[in-house]
Amino acid sequence: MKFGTLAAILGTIGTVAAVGLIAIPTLGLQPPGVAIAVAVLAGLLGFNLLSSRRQHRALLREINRVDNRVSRVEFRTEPVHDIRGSVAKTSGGMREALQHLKTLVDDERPAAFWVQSQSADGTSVSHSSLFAPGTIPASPMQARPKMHVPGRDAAQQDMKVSSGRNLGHLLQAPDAALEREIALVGGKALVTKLESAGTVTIVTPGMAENAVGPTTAFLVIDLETLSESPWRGVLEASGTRLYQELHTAVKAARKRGTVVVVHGDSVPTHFTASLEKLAHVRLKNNELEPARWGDDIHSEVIKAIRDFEKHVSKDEVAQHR
Amino acid sequence: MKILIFADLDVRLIDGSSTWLASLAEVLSAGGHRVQLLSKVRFDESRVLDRLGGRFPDISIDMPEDDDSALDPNAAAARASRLHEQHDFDAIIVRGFNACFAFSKHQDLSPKLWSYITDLPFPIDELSKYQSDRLEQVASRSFRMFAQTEAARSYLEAAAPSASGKTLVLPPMVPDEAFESGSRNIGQGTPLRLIYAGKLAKQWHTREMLALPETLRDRGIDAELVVVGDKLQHDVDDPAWGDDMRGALIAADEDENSSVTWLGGLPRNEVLQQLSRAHIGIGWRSPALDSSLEVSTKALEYAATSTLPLLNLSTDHLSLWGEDYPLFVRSEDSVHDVADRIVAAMPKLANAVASVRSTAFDFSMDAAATRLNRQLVRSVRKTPSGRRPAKVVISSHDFKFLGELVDGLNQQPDLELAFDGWTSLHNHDEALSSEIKSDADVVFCEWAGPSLVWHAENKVPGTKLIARLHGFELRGPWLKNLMAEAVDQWVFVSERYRAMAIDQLNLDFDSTTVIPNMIDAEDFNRPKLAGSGFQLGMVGIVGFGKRPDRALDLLEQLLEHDDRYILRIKGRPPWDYPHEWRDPLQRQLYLDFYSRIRNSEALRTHIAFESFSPDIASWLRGIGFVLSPSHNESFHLAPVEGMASGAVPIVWQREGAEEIFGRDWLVENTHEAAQKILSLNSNSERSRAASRAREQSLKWDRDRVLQLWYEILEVK
Repeated sequence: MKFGTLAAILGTIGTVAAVGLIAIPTLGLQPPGVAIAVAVLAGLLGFNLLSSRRQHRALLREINRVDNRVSRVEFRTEPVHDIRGSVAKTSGGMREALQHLKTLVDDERPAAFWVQSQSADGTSVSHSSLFAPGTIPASPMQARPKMHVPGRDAAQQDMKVSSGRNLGHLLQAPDAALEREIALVGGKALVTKLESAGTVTIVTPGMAENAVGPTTAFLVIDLETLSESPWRGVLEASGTRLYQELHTAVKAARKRGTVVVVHGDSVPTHFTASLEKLAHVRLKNNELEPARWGDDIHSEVIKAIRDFEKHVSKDEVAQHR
Repeated sequence: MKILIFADLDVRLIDGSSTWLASLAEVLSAGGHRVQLLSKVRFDESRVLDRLGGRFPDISIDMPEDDDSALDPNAAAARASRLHEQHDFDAIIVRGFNACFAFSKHQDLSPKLWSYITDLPFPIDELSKYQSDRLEQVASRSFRMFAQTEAARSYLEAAAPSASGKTLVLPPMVPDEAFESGSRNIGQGTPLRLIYAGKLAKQWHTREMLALPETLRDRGIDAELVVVGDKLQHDVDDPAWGDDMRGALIAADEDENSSVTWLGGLPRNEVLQQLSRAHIGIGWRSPALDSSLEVSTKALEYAATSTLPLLNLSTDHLSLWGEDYPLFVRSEDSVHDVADRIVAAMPKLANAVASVRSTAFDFSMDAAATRLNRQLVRSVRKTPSGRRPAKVVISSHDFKFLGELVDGLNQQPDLELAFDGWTSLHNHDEALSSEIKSDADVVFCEWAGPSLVWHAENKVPGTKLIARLHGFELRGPWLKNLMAEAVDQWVFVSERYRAMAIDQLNLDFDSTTVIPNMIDAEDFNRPKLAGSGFQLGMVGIVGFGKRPDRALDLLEQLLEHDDRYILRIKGRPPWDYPHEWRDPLQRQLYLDFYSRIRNSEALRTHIAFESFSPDIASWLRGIGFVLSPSHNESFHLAPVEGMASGAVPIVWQREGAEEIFGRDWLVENTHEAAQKILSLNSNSERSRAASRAREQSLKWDRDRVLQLWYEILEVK
């Protein structure tokens, strides 16, 4: 039995069962009915995705096969001048058609970048942020065919995905995808400035692991206002359990690709050095560490923190607190 | 030098190709080389080659024994292989795609092969995958390639990446006798003499031009037209055209009032005589020929005889003949339009003669001989001394900076090169590496990476170990395992890195030397495209230390003054380097960079992202300013290549930059960079600055830098 037929039978049975269970309340099996309906829908969606990908792959395989055949005909007929011209013209036309088909197939491939999702009320639409660590993936290299050929040719790489694909998505990103997610550990003093660079979530103890999620681009830890926040005492030995939670959250964030910024100057205590070690960037008294790409790098988040340092005097900070 | 030439053509016929063959043999022989011509066909008489007889004793001709069968490309390659065995040629020049492909398949011929593909499928959509693969094979196996023009070279390098850096321009050659005629007076009591010499073809508007004398007469100019040629080209789309053309020619020739004379086909010397009597040579042609990659030899011959060519307006013609040249017409012009343009140009014609003749001199045999000799001397392997060759092993995982060095070492007669190619910075086939280096006189580690650690540890007594440290290696944890005392010679690309390495690795100063990176300055020395003064080029933006954000700052500032500036970014995007893209901070910086472009209409419409390709010299033709905004570099080859191309480098101040580039090109910040560019463009100083930059770049030219390498490799 074909995979498609099996899916259709299972889908039908599931749908009938779900409708039956939901439509007859006296059975008292409405929740399992809803569950079956959801499972059937998810199954059909998955099947549709798999099936279209399979069809695309098959079509691409066929296109490549025809292309190779054309090349073989060209090769065989090349010594015969009269035929060569005709073949060249025919194969040119065919290739144009094949290229067109390829483009269509490529265009129809599902774009993984700007995933749209409906909110609870079913109306508003959100997009995954461009700045989320996983949104723009790295393009794995397949081969370096000329890596041992001396000269610039050695740098040629065959990539798994066209480089232009990410670029296209970046430069044509919808406005909604341009919002950075920033998690802040500390007091509220920095929030206003940080909001010029993205949406700020204040992370509190007990929810640290969930607040810094896979879409968080930056995790900013403000040492200067820690004591004004629920994290008060987190860097002291007496707050070891609190620090453990923060440490775990920061490590997880780093692993997911979130940039960890530790900002501000404070009197060193037991876990200060340990926390600073986890930072990708240390911003203290307007100085950036490490400054391996220069002190003047263009980063909206770093600029926001620097603006805060520049424009808000110590007194104003105190007022904020 | 001993040179073999084969062209896939019948030398019994007189046409542009066979004339080229004879001219090339003549030029090479005049340059003191021994030339062996391999003919595709057996012949008793060849009017093009017979003129060589006697005058050039160093030219000998080999031809098939059989009268009836011409050599197909494979047979020609096999015959060439036998000839090479006897004569050991220094260079083998082959013309024609199929012939080049056949020769490239012979391992004994390909290292000496100079391929000249004139029948390259064009435009790019005519190039099938099959042809493209064949072309790439020819390019990768040939020692050098020729292209007729800069445009043809750019096209070839784009179509076959392996041709980049090894393709030389071989312009058409105009025979010396064409230059013998003197200048003529225009419009002083004599009729304006127009001439057309060549195929009678619809694409050359030969039918329409017959009405030119009459149309000019209507405008008060006494004119006559001489038509030379008897080959009527059949037109597939208009089969009746040939008969119509012939009828019109005969009628015009017989009509005394037409002022048209048809002389039919003439021997070459008589054609030149006719040219030397004319004032204007007609090269008005259909739009299909405007896209040609080749320069019109017809126009060059007109110019050589002091006859002004009337030409279609095209970018190539503007670049060759100058923007002020008065005799440009448009392909779609009517004969009335052409007559109007001639009338308008009349006052300027006398002054234009010297200029076109001077342009034609660049295509003379003398100029060709000088150019070819320089190219041969620069490229061909020297004669062996008979000593046992020293074996040099080059060990590397990345060979991209080794093109010129390997090319130079290959020219050395007493040197045997071998390669220990690592599959990555850390990985290699240990057994293979051991075998390759076992009898080496010199092992050269291109990077001070793990391969150096391995070769130091496994050094054979008597072998000289040389290491080049580029920069990033100083941060490598492997260096703590290096037996530094096993390294006999350290090479650095700059003094700054030498000092840093001496300090970090505690090296003996005497075991260190600085040899800068090198370029093939001649390859980069190509004419700039129109408008390049407003094109800013940046090659490579990964890692973020290259500071592409500074380039955006600069562009924003320039656009406030002039909307014409474009930033062209060439190279791979950061996500093509997974190890760089995985760095969270760096990724966010790049995302800021791209979102900044996404959010700015001005930036978005003034930036071009261009993918990596090896034809950088061709790309640089369109660049007027090459940017180096990096925060940190050990050398930075991109601005050096830009300088050699005639672009003005703009280098941000950083540690070590002055040592390499001097003060002239350094800027303290983006504002200063913008001011410098605006000022150079506003007072037309750019071309002078570009010349200085080009001059300065010669210190990195391969011919100079290779000498430094020969010294440390002890190559005599």
